[in-house]
Amino acid sequence: MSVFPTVRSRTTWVLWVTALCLVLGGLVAASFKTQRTLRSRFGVTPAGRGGLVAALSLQADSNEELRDEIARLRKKNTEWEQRFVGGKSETQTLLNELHEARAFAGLVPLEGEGVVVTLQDNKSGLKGISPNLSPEATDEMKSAGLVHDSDIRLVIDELFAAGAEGVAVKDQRVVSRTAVRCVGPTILVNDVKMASPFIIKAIGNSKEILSALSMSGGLLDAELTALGMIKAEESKRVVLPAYSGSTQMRYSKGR
Amino acid sequence: MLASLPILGLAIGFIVVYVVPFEVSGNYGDYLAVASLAGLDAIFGGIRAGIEGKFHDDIFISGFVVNTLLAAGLAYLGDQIGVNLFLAAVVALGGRIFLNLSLIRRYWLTQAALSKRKET
Repeated sequence: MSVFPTVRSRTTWVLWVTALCLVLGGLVAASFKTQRTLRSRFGVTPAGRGGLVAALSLQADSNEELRDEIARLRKKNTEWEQRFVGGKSETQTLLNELHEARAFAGLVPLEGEGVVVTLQDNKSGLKGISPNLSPEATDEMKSAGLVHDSDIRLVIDELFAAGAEGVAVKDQRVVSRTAVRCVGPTILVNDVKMASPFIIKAIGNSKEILSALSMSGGLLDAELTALGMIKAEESKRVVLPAYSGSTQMRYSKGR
Repeated sequence: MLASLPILGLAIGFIVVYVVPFEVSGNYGDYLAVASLAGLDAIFGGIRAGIEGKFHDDIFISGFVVNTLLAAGLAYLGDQIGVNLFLAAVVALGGRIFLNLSLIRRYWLTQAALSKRKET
């Protein structure tokens, strides 16, 4: 004999289970979203590596904060220089030159008309894979549907060749010390990890850049377009952030 | 018809939270995962009790709420004192889920066999 006197009918208990299934669905969805974010951010999930991923996540947050701090300090630096000059024309000339050099080096944010190129993985292209293909051919087809570091480098080079004055990949400014390379499933630009879609912004004459990209044999004419992985459109106003990495020189001296 | 309601509820709950642009910080991903597992365990426990005719709504609801919070809380405590209680919770809950699932499956198979015998 049970201590609980009432045993519910079939309908009642199924309804209760349904109600809590609603809650459980929410829990699972929240969990699912978190794991997906972790995977796209770090390329790993915490199953079995919980502590490491949490530490990595904290570190990534603090890196982001430090990058903001650098941008803030560089801006402050410029303000102090301006104040230091006062009204003297010689120092003002020097300062103008300094600003031009900084703009050229990518150390200040820029804005102007330009082009936005989007590179995106094509997952549906994988449908062409059938089980009777050889493993090598399957790998090749899978690889063709992904954006590689070489694709990004190609776009950057093409944009500069077409006269772009500044380029940024997903808000990482491309400067003379920028490296684009892949580590596992993610791509590093300025040592910052990113994943598809890659939004590449460039400032310059948008008509010229677009026509350079779409000429026959050009980027928009090639395989990437056939797979629907590249898209380019002009934009009236493109904003590029300043380079936020280190500018220290440890081995070289100016001559 | 009635049996499909919980699955519908699960789908609706999932879609609602999936669509809402809110996200738990990656640092708490583990606790959320173990809480989901405890919820799953409570649901299967409830189904089993219902089938066996021992279902009590108060036990079921309190079990769901307390177990999810307790599982996440224990995993958190484990992290604080350097013991992997997360793993312990996963093993314990996983074992219970499999046990409940096998009992539910047996019950349904028995039902099917009985109704077949009745027909002949």
